[in-house]
Amino acid sequence: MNFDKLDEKGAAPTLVVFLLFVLISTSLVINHLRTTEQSAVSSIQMANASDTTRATLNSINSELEEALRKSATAAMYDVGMGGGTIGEVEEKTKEYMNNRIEKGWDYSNLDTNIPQIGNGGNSSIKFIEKPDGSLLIRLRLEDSEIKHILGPTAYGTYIQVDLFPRFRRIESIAKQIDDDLEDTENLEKLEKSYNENYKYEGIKVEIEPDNLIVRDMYAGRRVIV
Amino acid sequence: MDIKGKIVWRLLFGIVMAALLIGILITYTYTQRQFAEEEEAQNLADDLSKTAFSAIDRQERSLDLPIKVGDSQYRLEVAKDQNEFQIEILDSEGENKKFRSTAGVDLENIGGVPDPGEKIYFRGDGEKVFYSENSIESLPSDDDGDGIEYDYPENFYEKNKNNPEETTGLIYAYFYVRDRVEGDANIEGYKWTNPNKLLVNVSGETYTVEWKNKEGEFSRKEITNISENGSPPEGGFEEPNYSIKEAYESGYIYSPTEAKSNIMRRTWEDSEGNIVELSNINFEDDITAARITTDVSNFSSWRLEFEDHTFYHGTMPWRHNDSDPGFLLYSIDDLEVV
Repeated sequence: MNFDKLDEKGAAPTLVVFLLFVLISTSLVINHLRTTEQSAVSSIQMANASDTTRATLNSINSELEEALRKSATAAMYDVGMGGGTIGEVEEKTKEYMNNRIEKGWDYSNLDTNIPQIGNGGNSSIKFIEKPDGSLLIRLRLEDSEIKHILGPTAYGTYIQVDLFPRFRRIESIAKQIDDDLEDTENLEKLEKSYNENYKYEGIKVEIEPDNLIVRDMYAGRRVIV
Repeated sequence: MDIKGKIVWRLLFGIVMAALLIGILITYTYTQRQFAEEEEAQNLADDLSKTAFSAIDRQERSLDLPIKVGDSQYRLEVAKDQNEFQIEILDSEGENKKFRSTAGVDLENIGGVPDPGEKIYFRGDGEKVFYSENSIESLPSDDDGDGIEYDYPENFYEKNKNNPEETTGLIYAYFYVRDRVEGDANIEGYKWTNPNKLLVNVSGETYTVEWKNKEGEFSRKEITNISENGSPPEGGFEEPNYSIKEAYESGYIYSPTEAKSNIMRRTWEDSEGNIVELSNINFEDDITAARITTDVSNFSSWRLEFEDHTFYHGTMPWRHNDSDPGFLLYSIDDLEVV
């Protein structure tokens, strides 16, 4: 190649300008193709991230639901042993639930923030007495948040648990027996009389000199399918 | 190359470099704008799910939807099955992007989904949250109370406890008709024409409820048939001083379906400890109502006949502070709950 000729005819600058055009155009095309591809991949990733977030919410909700059921049942048992009230059952249930919530949840790619019950914020737990004396519990954690690192987020936890044991009915019968005990010397006869009268309600009574047990025989949930 | 030629080439080179810088600047600005737009879309989706959740306790909430997200048009979609709000940014090149946020409650639409620039309204009923483009003044479940309190229907309760025969007939007729008509049924009157025949006026139609005394596991008076061919009695019907419908809506009557479910959601075993499997049954063929006489008292009950086992289930929950013993559930085959 004759470089003198090239210089004379201005071919070198032409080549530089041409090369720059080629570089810019190529980079623009590559960038466009990459962006398009990224966009498609990003849509799929976002949909997956959303599914993961929702699945995590469902998983945490299921766990909290079971925890609430067990906490409330344990609280009824604990409080019932000491002849306590429904208010004490509520406090114990909150305490047990908060112990579980405090441990938190650990997921990769997800930040979970489940607030404790009654620690300020918008959380509430309601104990609703059903006509038969069993409890319906509604737990609402408005500030709960499960956030995927890609953006999709799930807000709020709402759980409703229907408990079988007729706590208020048992409590009421126990008080009634307690009143009767003052005027009765024959505990065996009193126990027999209560068991005969309440058998159609599924209530079983055991009266001992220093112990009174009232059981709900229909409190069990389905254990096999 | 002469001086003139060099100036032309340098100018051309400068223009190309300027174009390159402008290109970079535009790309940077576009990326920043796109980033801000995506953040705005995600925030809008998050606001929607937060607002929806906050409406669960029967409060109405609303949110003004912006006309645009950033500088782009967008579309709001609600994936009902997933309780998810989706903001789709509409790109002129057709590369739409979706931003999602999930509400931790069940969502149900009772109107259209609003367009950008409009308002979206939310209202919950304690179980799920309804959304609409219009203000939600009332919900179908409003008449059921707020689901928090169970009103005590004293007249019905006392009647069903102390005179269960009459209420058993009315409860049976109510659920029989309710099962067949679209909409709700209402018991307007009743009259015994003889000890085994009860005429019931349900929503203006007369039904004949036939009874038969039976012996067996319990002495009982059982409903054996119901038909719509009855004509109003001479002298008219007697009006009950209670409402079966209201008592049911207050949670003070177990429907036949609830009675069946209460039995089936428990595990039963026989006296030898074998687990018992219960077949599925339906109201019309396998469930009837009966006034039963136990060694304690008379009770109103459902009689449920599974393939190999028969149960009696009370028609109403016994109040927790009732000082008299009640009736909930009894298996005549001595099955026990595990």
